[in-house]
Amino acid sequence: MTKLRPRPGLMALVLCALPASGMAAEGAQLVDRYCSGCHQPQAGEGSWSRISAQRKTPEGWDMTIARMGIMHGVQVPGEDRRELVKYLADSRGLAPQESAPQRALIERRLNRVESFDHPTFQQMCARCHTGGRVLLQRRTEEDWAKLVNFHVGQYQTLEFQSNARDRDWLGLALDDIVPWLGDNFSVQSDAWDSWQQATPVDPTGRFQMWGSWPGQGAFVAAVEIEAAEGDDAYRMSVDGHFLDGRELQGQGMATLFTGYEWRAQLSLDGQSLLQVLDFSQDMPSGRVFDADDEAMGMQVTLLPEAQETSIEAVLPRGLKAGERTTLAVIGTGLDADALEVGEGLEVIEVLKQENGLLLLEVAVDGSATPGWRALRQADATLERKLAVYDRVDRLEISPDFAVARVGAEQTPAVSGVFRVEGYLEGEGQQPIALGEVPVNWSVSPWDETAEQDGDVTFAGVMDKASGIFSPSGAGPNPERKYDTNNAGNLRVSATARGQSEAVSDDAQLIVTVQRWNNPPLR
Amino acid sequence: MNDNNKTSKSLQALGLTPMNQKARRLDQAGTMAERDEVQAMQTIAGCTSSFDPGWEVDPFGGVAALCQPMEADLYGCADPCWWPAQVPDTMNTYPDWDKGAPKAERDWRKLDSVYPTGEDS
Repeated sequence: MTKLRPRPGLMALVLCALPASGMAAEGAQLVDRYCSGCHQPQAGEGSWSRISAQRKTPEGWDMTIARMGIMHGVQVPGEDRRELVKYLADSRGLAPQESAPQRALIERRLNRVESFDHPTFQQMCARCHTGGRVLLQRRTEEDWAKLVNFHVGQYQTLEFQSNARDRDWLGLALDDIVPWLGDNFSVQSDAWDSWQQATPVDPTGRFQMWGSWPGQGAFVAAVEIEAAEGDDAYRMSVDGHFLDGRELQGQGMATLFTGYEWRAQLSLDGQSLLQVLDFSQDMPSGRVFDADDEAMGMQVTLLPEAQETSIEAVLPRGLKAGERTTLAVIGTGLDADALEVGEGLEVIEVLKQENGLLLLEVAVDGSATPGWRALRQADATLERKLAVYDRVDRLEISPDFAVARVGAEQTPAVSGVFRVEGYLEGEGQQPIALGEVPVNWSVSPWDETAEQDGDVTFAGVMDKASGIFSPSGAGPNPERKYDTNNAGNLRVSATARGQSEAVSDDAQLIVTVQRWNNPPLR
Repeated sequence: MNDNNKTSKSLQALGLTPMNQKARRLDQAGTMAERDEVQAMQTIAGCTSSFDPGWEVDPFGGVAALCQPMEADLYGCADPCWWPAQVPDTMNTYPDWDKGAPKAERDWRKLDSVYPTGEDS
């Protein structure tokens, strides 16, 4: 058996450039070489049993190939595996509309509760793994039935578990779940037919990328993407800085799967990170995250460079009255001299001016009226994205329920990473979102049991400034009752800083044990 | 289906003494509705909601009623394939996962993740 570090295999796929010519033919040859011993060639070019009854994400195909190795002993060398995934995801992938509802799973955002348009799908299937793992696949109804039968054969006790032994699990799976999947997640779809006819996305060019790095703060960066040697392979450079002035430099290699699924391995600020983007959008967006600690990540957006004037985003979104702040304005064709910033705001200094970015030192008048500020340059405006505030009326932590995991060398810890959004609220007015505002973070026992068990003492440490919770080590702890693990049930609290009236919000953090089965799609 | 408003008999009323935390807490759930409610609770994406008990979270949404330390019964979970999405099942899929680590309470550091990337092969 192969014992390996929990590196997400697919991401390694991006590093080795593939030859540009004859990819489809070579991909089909690889399927013939590695797969057709079992998967019979069918009528029509590039068609094999089972394989041609399915469509999946690049991660989904990589997991299939991994499973064929684990369960059937198929040995596919790394380079051929990368090429196989590329071919299968390109020829049997998901259209952007089909993957859209499950971007969170593809981006490894696991701290959310799923919901489904089926009354028992959660209990039947999503009680062991995410429902998204299923809903990111398309199959014929016959093939969905084979997947159910595979589960019963491979995981032979599944019918004895709770949410199975109380019902005719196999009967319901075949008679109820399979037809639902066949109807709603069919291998045949107009969206896929249209996507295959669409003009290919060209990801090369210059962009502004921005996001908020946990523990480090908001950043903006100029990104340049150019073609690299290989099929849909690209090289990326990142040149930017955090709003406090620290530089942010990086570079990476990427592969574009299925015409829009961008997977990159980045070295950013000296850290090795993975990037997942959806390039089918006018402003590609997605997530950058740590391969070992997937909770440690950030959403990013890329705005392509253009000549026409537009204003798309600001960082930060809330400016406190009476303070001086560095304000990043992101758009295209920006000109500091022509930019109007609104009542109570004064641009003290233009720190940086580029086509896609203005970095301004802004003073906010101490008596400025709290509320939205529109940014204008000629005909371009940005409304309801920037606000002045003198107080925070409400805080909202996200996620409101999170799972962290204790760590060891073979199973690195999964952190608790929390963010908070501040709001201004007035009677009869819509809340005004202020983005991230300064807070102090803390943890306390979630309930009486957690208090009695000393969960706060044993489960880990919350960083007061950043909202990042670092779990303790794995293994039995002889200092705890029954040598129990360093698990805990914690209340995470954020309290607004510098306010006379206390404003806070709570979230729940479960610190739990490690898992050893960590494919890219859980 | 259960009559959800029916008050369930406590284990003690049946002449049984709850022996562990999960049993004690289940004993405290007064009605079948309360039991069903906690049993059917959705969990975070990718965490098991097969509460026998759960792998990550117990039927009450906490961790006190999990089997802990989990290393004490880890192979009792791996062998019957109880949480195959979290713990490699040694019944079928990863028969050698525990090779060289005969006692999980002592050898748990030797247990490795199982998703093969293909990069080391």
